[in-house]
Amino acid sequence: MGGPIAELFINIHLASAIQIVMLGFIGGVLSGFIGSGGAFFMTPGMMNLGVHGVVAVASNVTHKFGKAMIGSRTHTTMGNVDKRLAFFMLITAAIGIRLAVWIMSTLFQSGGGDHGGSSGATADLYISVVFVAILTVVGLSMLKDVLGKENGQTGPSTRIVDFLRGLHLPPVIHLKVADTKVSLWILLLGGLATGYLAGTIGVGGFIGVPAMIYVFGVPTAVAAGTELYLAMFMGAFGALNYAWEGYVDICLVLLLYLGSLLGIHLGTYGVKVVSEKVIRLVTAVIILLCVTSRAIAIPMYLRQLRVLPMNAGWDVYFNGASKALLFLSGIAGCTVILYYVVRAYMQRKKVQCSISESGGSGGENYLAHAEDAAVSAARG
Amino acid sequence: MAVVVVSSVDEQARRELAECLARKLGCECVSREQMIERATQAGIPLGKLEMAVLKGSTSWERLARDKVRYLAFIMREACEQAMKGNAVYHGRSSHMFFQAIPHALKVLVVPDSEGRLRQTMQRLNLDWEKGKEYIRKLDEDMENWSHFLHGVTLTSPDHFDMVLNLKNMGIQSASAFLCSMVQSPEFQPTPASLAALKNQWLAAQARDRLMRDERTGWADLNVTAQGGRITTTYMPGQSHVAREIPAVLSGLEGADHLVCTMATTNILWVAEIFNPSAPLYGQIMDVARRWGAALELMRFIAPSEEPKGETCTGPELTPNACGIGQVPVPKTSDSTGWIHDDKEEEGQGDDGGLTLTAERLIENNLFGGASTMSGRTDGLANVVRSDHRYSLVVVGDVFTSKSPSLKVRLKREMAGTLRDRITVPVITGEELQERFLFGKRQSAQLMVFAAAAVVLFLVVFNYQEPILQFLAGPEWKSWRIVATVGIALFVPLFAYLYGSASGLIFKLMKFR
Repeated sequence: MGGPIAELFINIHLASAIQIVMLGFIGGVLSGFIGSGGAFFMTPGMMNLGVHGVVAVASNVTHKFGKAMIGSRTHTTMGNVDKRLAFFMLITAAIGIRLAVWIMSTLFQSGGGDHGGSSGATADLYISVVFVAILTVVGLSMLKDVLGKENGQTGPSTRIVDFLRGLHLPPVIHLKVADTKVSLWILLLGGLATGYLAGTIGVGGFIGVPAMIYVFGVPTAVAAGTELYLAMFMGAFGALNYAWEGYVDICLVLLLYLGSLLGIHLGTYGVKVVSEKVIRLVTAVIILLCVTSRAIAIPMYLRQLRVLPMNAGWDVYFNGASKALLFLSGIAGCTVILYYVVRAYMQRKKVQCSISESGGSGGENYLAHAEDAAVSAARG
Repeated sequence: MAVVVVSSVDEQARRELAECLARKLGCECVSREQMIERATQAGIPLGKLEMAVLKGSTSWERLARDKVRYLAFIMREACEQAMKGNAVYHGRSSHMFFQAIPHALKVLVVPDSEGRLRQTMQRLNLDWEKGKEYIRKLDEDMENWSHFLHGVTLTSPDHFDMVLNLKNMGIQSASAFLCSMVQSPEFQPTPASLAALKNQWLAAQARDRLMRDERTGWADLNVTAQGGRITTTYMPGQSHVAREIPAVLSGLEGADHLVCTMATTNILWVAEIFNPSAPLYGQIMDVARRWGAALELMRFIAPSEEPKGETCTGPELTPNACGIGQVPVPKTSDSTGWIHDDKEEEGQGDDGGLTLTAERLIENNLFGGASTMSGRTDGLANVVRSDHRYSLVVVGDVFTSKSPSLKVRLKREMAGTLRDRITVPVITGEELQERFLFGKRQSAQLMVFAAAAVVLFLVVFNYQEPILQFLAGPEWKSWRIVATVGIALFVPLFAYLYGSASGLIFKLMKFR
């Protein structure tokens, strides 16, 4: 591959292809398990492989579009999609995406000319800073939420919902499927933030889903289903915008699909066999490790922009450390999830144990027998 | 033993009618307010629950545990009262606690709106406008509360046997009318309805105890009861709770057996005849195993359409073989009007194969409970709709006494009615294979999708450079519209083909 596209897109050989498929697979497992798009792992992962930030985001947004299309079909049949909520959020989400694409294109071009004239370090730095800032807040909030909950109190906090309802900001929209009422202005603001982040770092779901749950008061299942439905349109809009600017690497998209569409099935299976507390804990830890990994890469971009006086030879170490930590966190998280999945898959015939004893009239015998059976079932 | 449930949005109207009726029947009158007092004394944070719902603010997910605890408590109290003998209840939505008890007469009282307004104005010293506004808000709050507790509209006539409008009828006349209604055969307890009452009481008792105990109160458990057998299902992520359930339910009055099944969800299998050796049984088991679901059986007996001039034979109760409970078995009539002999059903057992199938499911660790219901599809939809545990309803062999073509039509209509009335996916046994299992059709689909995905993949990677030049090369701005549209069409196509193929592979591996 030669010419300008060689500077914009990476040259894919077997080793890099395997790494991208792995990124997709780990991202898919995490995505199925956590319920987000997995971009928090795949975007920085691609950047660590030498892909320009803008191309990584563009390819990831395009990849998410097709994936969300398939996922939202399932959620729609299950009745988890509030189309009215999605409609209102989509209005401003489109503006947010367009804003993000414009900022990215401008920064990319200022950092080395049209279509990868040189490095695009400004855009990479911008993406990394937004990534670190947003996901640090998300990761720490999630960690606090998990560790601070009393036993048995698993529901989301409603303080923000209560406060906003108290403001009485008309017009108020009744969301029938979610069975809640929200001010139109709050919906539009949520849509704008979701669209901007989806367009900037490809993780709109990390803002969209918590906003729906904690700010709009939408049930968790409906929030996840609606976000996926929304992601389909936002992904399509984002993909069209980035394709229009010529930043989508179709080869990266296909390689990501190879891994992610396999991983997502395993991750989804994991949700069924792991408790909600563990899911949130694993998610929070993985997000914070990804944030640390991206933060390690920031000095490299600052040096490239001549803001930080640093030896250029050190870039390889910063990039290597960032890449190692990212893969380590992804592989560790993925291993934990797959451990639960494989264990449940192998043991499901044994673990699905009924405690039964025919005859008798409610005496201690059947209970003692039942307890033995239950203990053996729990031990697997 | 008569059970009458009077529901109304007007507290005074329901109280006066219920008390008058109780005096005439010579039985105790139990009010919603008494029940609430008992629940509060039992430590259920009802005030917090009610305020949260009425403010319309809090996420209802957060309150789900308190709601389940409250419902279990009220259900237990109500059933205990009903099992003692005659009883009259009055409340806002008390009728929802007795939906599964056929002999309970459920009455909706529509108050005289002008009288209600006048009384409100007098009691609260309000003018006409404010009184009307107060009643509107009160009704709205009650509607929200009913929606939160039962997921139904408070005054939906579907859930009542009778609606009494008090505009032109006095309390005395209404109570006298109800007294005579209670004497009719439809509202007399039968062994089947008493068994249903006992099952409901046992399940409520078990649920209440599990919710109150700190060892199990935090877990997401489903509880059903049938003829002394309690069935609980627990989530896979909470498998260690299985150790505690037997200890918590130890010595529970009326409980003979306990079945604990790990399940993420329940599949409801509705049929008139269950046959564990039929292919459908294996297919449903297969789906249940893949989903980690428990399988709940519901024997549905549609009211038979007797030919003119024939003596109607009502449901007859036959005790079943292994103590799951007593279920009504209708005797079918043939074209000559003769009653079929029971011997014809020996292969299925006297309960339409329910017991035998339940036993097989227990052996396979997939049992999620069993019940019998007779009536129309509307009633079935109400029962299923009020229960949020199900992720799939499978309509099996129903309307067995009808001719094959009529059976097909009625079954299709039944599935259609259920689909319209409930949010849970409903499929017939015939559709099950196609939708959820891996057969020849799925093999062909897998091959086609996989081949197409491979072709697209090879094309892109063999012509990588020209394709990328086309999408982003130096001349790309000349055809950027075509390039953008190309990506917008190609990406979802590949995702669909490859996603479908990978999904089918996981289906083949029984991993979905």
